[in-house]
Amino acid sequence: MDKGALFRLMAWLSPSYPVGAFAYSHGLEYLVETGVVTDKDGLRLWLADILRHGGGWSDAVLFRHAFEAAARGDRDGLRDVADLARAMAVSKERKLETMAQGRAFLSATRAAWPWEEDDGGDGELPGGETEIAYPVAVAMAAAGHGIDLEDALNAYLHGVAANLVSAGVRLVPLGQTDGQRTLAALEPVIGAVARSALTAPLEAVGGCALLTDIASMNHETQYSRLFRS
Amino acid sequence: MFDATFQSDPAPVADRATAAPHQRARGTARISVRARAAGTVLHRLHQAGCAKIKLPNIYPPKDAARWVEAVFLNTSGGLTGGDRVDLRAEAGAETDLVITTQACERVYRSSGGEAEVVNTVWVAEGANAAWLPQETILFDGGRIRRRLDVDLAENARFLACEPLVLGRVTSGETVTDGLFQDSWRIRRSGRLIYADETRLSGDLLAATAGIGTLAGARAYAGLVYSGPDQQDLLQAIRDVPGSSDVAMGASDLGDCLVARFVAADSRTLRRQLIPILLMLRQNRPLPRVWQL
Repeated sequence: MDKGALFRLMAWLSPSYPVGAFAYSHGLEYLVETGVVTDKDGLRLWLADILRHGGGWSDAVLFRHAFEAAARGDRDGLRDVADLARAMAVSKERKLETMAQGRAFLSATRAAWPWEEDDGGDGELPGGETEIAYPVAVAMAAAGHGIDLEDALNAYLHGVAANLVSAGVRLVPLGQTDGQRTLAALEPVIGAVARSALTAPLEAVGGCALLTDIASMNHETQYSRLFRS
Repeated sequence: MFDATFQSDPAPVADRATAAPHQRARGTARISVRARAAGTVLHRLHQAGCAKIKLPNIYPPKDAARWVEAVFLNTSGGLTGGDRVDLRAEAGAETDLVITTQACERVYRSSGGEAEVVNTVWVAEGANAAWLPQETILFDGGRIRRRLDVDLAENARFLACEPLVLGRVTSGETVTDGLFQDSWRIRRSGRLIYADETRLSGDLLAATAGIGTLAGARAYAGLVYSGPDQQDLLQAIRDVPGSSDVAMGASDLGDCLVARFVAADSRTLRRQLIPILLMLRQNRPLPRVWQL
């Protein structure tokens, strides 16, 4: 892996990248409030569900197809994936989570790491669609910079998992070391999901993290909240 | 639009003997309705193969306009690998159409391939359509890919609810393996406003056991509503009394309302869905098959 690609993935998927990732819990705040996730084992099991059967898997499949469409300059294909990613949001807050991070990611990355084939517009794809979901945004930039798809996909999924571990550390709450143990234990899951997504057709998007979807809907009316999702 | 060509004939005997052990079911049914002074009436009906549509008499409340209830029936008695069923419904301008099913659709163990179901609904200007099939029951080893493609005109109203049950709990069945892929695409004035991919595949016992997935529950329903009055309806859904046996949530995505329900079994699920569907149907009676 060349150093430029490594540096970019580390920067883009780090917790300090200005996408506001720390503000989103993907419904975890409600699951902690209702006693579904109470300790580090619960957090690990929930995150494995997200990665295998929920937003992680769907993001990975969308990422693959957005990356490949961008890499071959297929703007119609990219727009179709972007449309699907936007329309697949399962709740108001999950929509905010993916669309606000996508917008912020493109804005920061276009400023600091512009790439040649980018249209230079304000997140605009052909057809006037201006809303780009987070996995599609990262995939576009990674493809634009010629980064290897599997590396980018692993970094993206790891970033998503690390962010939710960090949310869990604050919410459950867990010690910092238990948080890192959880992340370490998820490495094989992240790798396996990324590998499966590399060959997954777009029809394989979707899953059955249905209680997580319900949690994110109920988070909207949760009385006391730290997170935006 | 309603051409009569379809592939309902069984494969030639020679083919069947070599390629497929079972005769596979094919069905196509199409219905359209239009508005008349007294309310909505049937316009066209076409059915072929194992797909039938029944039109029971509706007795609307006094002074209420008449609507059409279309009851879809798969006469093959269940779906298995290689079966293919298409249903198309068209609600003309200013009509009121509700579509349901005569029975729960059973997806039996596949000896090869997947059942394929394609449901398409057009809802024209000012029309109100509801897609309210009874439960789909996925048996162990069952494999189905289903699509629901909906095209809404500006100002059209649309409600859909699809319940799924994994095996028959009363018979102690567990579903350990299979495929359930339900792909919803809803467009308004050509723009994709909602996509859902509910997908259970592979080791279903493991996939559905997780605290983030179904926590071992056997019944699920997805619901969507889109219409000019949807803003008022989110709170109305949330105000329907819940039950401790059902996990449910609802949200307003801007272009449509969505809700999801997870319950231990189909009866508990149905008991929760009925008051919500009644409210979303503006208190028109639900199809008879939806009574408990």
